[in-house]
Amino acid sequence: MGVEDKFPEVVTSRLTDLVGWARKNSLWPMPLGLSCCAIEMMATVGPRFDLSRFGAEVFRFSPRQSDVMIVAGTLTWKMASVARRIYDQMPDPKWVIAMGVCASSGGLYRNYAVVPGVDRILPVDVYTMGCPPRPDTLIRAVMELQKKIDELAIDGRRPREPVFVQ
Amino acid sequence: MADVPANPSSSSNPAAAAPAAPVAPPPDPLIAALTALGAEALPLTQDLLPVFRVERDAWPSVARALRRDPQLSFEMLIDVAGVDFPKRRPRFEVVYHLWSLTWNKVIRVKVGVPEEDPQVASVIDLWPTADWHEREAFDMVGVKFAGHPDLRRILMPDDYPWHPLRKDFPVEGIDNSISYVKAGGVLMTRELDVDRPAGQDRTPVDRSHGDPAGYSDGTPTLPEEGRS
Amino acid sequence: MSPESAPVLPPPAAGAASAASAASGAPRFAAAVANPKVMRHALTTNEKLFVGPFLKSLLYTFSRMFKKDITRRYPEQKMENKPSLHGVPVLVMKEDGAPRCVACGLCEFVCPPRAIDIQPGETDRPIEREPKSFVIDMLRCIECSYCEEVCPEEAIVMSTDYEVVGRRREDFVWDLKKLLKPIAQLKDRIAWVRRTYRRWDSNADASAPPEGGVYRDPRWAGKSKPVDHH
Ligand code: SF4
Ligand code: SF4
Repeated sequence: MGVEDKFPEVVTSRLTDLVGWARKNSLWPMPLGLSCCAIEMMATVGPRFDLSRFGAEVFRFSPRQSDVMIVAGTLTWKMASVARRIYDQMPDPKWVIAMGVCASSGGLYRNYAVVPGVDRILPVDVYTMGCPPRPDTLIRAVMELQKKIDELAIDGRRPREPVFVQ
Repeated sequence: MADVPANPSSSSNPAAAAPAAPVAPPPDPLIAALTALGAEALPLTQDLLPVFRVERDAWPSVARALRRDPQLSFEMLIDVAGVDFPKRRPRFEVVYHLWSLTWNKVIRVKVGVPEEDPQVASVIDLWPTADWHEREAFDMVGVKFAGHPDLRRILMPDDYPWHPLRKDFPVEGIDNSISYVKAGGVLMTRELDVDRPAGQDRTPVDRSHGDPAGYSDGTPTLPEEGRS
Repeated sequence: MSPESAPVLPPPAAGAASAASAASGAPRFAAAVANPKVMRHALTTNEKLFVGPFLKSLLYTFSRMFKKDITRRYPEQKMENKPSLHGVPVLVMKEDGAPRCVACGLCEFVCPPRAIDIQPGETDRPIEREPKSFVIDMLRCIECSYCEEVCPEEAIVMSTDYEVVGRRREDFVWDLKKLLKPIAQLKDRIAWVRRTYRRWDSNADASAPPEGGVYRDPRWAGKSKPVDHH
């Protein structure tokens, strides 16, 4: 016995579901293009792959207007503090995609200059394999992130309570 | 410079000199001029670049002459590089490439720098482009440039304690958990995984917020430094 | 520099080092020297009004609506799986379920990011050695295919899977169970490997040995009896 039974044209939802649905379908990425992965990132937004089919095409070059940071490329220790500052300026809730093996684990660069994985300094939500990953892989990462956001409660941190089924 | 014998036609006619093969090549006036300044001429490189070695104490005056003398006038500094030869004495070398746009000549000048006192005069007042080049040589090899107004590291973080292009520095880096970068209020330790076999990289502390597994509200698992 | 002062250096045009560039006798960018200004035609009234070109560009955008769109809708339409695609490296599993790999360690040695880790073990099969554990850290692998090129047994090949994402780093450490792929799915790639890497072998017969069968090196044809190592 609910509203939906009386008025079949009305759909009810919880606020947390609604917010999660809105959030996951309007991701605004902050491109942190550090090397060649950035080229594939640009291709992903182009017409051939068209990231806007997932609502994530509004690349913002200001961290204050974005909620997912795509770390695309080799992060050096010199750049690390900058990346962290950019991340700190993003408003909550925020997510991080480590695109490519360099961002995910340091990849080819096992040396003194490169951060072995951006998860040393940022909380990474989705890792992506490839050197560089194809645009398809980045789209897949965005889809994975959407799935993750869908599991979160309204504060963007806790898992969502299961839906009560009668 | 006036006492250097001017000999403009010595090397200007290669076609005429070619048949007389056994004759030694005419003395290069540039080499003569630089030798008079106190530089030691080394054999030409493969691509026929004249190379000179200059004593560290003589380098400021030689550099001034190279830049200011209208008959040398090397207007452009192409490159400054620090080189480490661990077995040689002096251990370090600073290599300058200079280009005279007037005479269309490129030369290479090497200045030896001993390890005990790794210092050489900066040429930033003669060639302003030397600024970043000298900072890079300082960062990578550790040669200090006296007179440089802003000798900071350029490629490595400011608090990095080593000079990584020295030959005795391991390319994997030194485990430097004592060194850290303070950024955005976060202390980032700088540990490296280089010697671990594949698949055994130290998986960092799980800082992923909102990961359903292992989350419980109110416990200190939520890292306070991870949140802004 | 005054013309009277005797130059120490020869004039550039006559110098031996600059003989090649001076041979033509003219500056290299003669046209640019003659016309230092970029030539532009005067704007027409249409261009000054700006409306015409503006509408033209809008018309172009509008006309794209009636053309075939080039977007590939990824999750539904995947990339055409050519055998030459560098995807994830996988291990070849023979029909009986055993890996072809003999744990020689060449791929571990050649791998630029050192993504592979092999623990060899003994086996009763005629190859005597097999990997006890074979781990590839997919977050290190750069899909360079060096391991495939170096492998003497055609035991590790690149597959056509290329979208690997995950939420935790541990998920990317693939072990033997995850790496082994039936040989039936890798026939195209193995044929491609033979065509490509044996191209310089003058006796190689690319069309020869059947996939999954014994590779008979043509150089030894008739000279010795090939042995089925597997
Ligand atoms: S493809 Fe290259 S990086 Fe990946 S496992 Fe093979 S050799 Fe290593
Ligand atoms: S090169 Fe081939 S046979 Fe040797 S260890 Fe690697 S996969 Fe196994």
